[in-house]
Amino acid sequence: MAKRIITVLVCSLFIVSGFIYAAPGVNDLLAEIDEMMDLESDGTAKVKITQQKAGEGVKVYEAIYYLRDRDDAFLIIMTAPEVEKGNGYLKQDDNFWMYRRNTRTFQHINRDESIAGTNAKGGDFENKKLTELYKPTLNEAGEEIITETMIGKVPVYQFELTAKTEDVTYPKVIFWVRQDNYLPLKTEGYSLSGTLMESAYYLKYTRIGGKYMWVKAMFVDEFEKGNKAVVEIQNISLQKIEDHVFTKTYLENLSK
Amino acid sequence: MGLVTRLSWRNLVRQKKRNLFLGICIGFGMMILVVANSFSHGMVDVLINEVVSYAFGHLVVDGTQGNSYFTMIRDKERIVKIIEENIKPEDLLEINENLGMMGRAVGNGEADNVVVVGVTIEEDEKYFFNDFFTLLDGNFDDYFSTDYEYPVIVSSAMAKSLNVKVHDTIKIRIPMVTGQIQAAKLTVIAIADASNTFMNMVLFMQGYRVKELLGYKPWESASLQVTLRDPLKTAKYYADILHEKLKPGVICVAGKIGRADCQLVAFKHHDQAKEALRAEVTIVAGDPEKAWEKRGVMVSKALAQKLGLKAGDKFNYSYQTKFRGIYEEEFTVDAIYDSRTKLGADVLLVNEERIHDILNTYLPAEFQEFLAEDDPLYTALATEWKLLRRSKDSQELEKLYKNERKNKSTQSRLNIITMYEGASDILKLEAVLNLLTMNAVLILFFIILIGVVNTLRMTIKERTREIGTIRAIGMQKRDVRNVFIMETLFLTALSCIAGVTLGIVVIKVLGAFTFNSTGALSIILKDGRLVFKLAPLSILGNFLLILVIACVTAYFPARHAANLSAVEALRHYE
Repeated sequence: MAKRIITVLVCSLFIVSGFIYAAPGVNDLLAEIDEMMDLESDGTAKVKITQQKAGEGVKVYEAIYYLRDRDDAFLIIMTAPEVEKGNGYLKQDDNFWMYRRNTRTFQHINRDESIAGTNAKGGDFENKKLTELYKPTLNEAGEEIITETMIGKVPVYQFELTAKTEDVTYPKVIFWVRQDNYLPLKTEGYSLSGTLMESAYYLKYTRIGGKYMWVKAMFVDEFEKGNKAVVEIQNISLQKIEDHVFTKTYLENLSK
Repeated sequence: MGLVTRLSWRNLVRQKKRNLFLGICIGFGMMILVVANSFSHGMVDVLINEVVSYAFGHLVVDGTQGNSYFTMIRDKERIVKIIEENIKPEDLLEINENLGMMGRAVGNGEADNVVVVGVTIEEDEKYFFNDFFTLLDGNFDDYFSTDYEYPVIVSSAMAKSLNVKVHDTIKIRIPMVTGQIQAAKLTVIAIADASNTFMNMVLFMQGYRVKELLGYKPWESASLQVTLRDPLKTAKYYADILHEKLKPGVICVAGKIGRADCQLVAFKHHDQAKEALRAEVTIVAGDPEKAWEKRGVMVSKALAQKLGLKAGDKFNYSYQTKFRGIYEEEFTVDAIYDSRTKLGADVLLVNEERIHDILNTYLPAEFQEFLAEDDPLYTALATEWKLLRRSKDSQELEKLYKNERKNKSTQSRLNIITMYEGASDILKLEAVLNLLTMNAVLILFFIILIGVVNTLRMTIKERTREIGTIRAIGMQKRDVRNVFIMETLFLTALSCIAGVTLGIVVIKVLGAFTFNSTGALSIILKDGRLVFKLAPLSILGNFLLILVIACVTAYFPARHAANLSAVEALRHYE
């Protein structure tokens, strides 16, 4: 009898500990990440992109980025290199314009077009929630693909996502997020055919306005080896930005 | 006349040196004219047949959707049917999908930008390759092989750039029609030299494989290129006909809400259309402001009562699609309107921006007719696609597309373009070249004709006593004049014939050289050679023009000679 009681107790202990230590659901993780990183505020920041391309050396791009939280309007004004200085981008509602300082003209562009010749696209600057874009990938048994692993000495959850909409660059993404605070440390983007296209390493986070924001990340082109870009975000301000900033006139004036 | 001809011919032979020199000048001018004329015709021929017709097509039915830079025709079968029904079979050579996309390729340690192009051909049409490429390595038969997932033909220049050989693999990264990134491994099955330098950066693959890579569904298509037998004569004519036949109908789709039959009708998302509808549609419940907004949905009162729907309720509307079975979409009732309208009782009225994406992705099996075209409300209703107006030239076309880029509607657009609009600048080149050639030749001939006048004046001066003699023995003034004119005519005609012959020889020689150019010159080369195309009618026209000019020029000195008094002429002494 005692043996049976002990067996039941041990089993119960395992079951309870299983509940206590089980990895959270992928949807919960996504919601947590969205919540942690949604600034819900206007913002200004200086963005520096150090881009290395195989056979082309290193190029440094700098820009100032203005974001209006209310409608996700944004304005980017390039400050370096010299050839890009004064060029800008403005997104307002469904309109996305590129401004060329040399010709003083605005041109409608597609959100899939490159920003200043970098790998960044207009769409990358839009404020989108992971929960709206991706859903957990299920294995053959219909379970979410999530495991506990380590990145260096940091325990992480590794999980796989599939795009919910077609409005994403990579139809399949794998995330590595810290187990203690769910901050993403690494992501991998895969093409529809399952080829690894890009790895992103989130090297440094800052806490601002009670939320987390990555301030240094490295994007490695896994398709064309030797290409990578380090993005640094500096001088972040969450002060409200006046509406006149998100206008063509303001962009033209900034460009002078 | 026989005497005049004999005398003219004899006089021509008498002064060999002077006439030979003048003849060489005229012949040289004619040769330049022939070479320049053939070059401009050849260049335009290359540009039209090797560049324009491949890049733009003789006639293109171009489809776009939203702001995507991909061309997209959602119902290929329907559009192809309209094309085939309206272009006479004897004028229609083929209809091809313009499948191509720029991407990045990585070979053996080297990377380059490439254009992946889909060429749909059957195995029994493989002669196409021999016309188009010079095979350097590999086998064109493997293009049709199913042993490889993505067999590809690569130009020798690209193979060198990517450092690949036959049976090596090339990794490519290209954007899909959805905007996502696609990657694939292609197997080089042949390395060939294309006849045109534009093809150097192209990777050729079977059309259906490219479609699969780019994410087109089997029933969808990129823009359709129509190849015509005589595009110069028929392209514009058929473009206008197709433009008329491709006028879209209004969006009215028969479907069901639960078990109740209904019609989904879309209204245009612009103020004028809404104003027209507001005059007819009275909202009796719900939020009128929301109902007229971009994603607004209105249900007729009769339908709402039948289904027990209230404003704010959600409901599922389903319809039979053409390729994907039944499709069901959830809507929210923003407003209920009085059904006593000409729209009918079982109508679900939806803003076009709420429905275009759905209808484009899940094509309805059939669009119903709704209201007569002359009904004032008809123009307020959204159409299946927007048919863009025909453009006159490249500039107008560019302006049209620029304006369309500002239009953020998700509605599909169709445009009918011929090579005259798509590549009008290239086609203007022929006229410009011809004009330049003609100007240069006219200047040349002006100089030559001064030579003719001078030569005749000298000849007349030298033969003054001879003119006096023949006039004294009874030759008429008119015959004297004609002797000189005939002499010039013979000289010009013989020189021109020699010039044309020499021109043809020069063309053959120049056309035999092979240039290894990758620069601007390479655009006008075919198989690395300059292309000359003789235009016999044009040459004949120029030949006759020169004869007329020569006769007119010779007429005045000849008349002067004919008018000399016989006595005065005999007394002439140098």
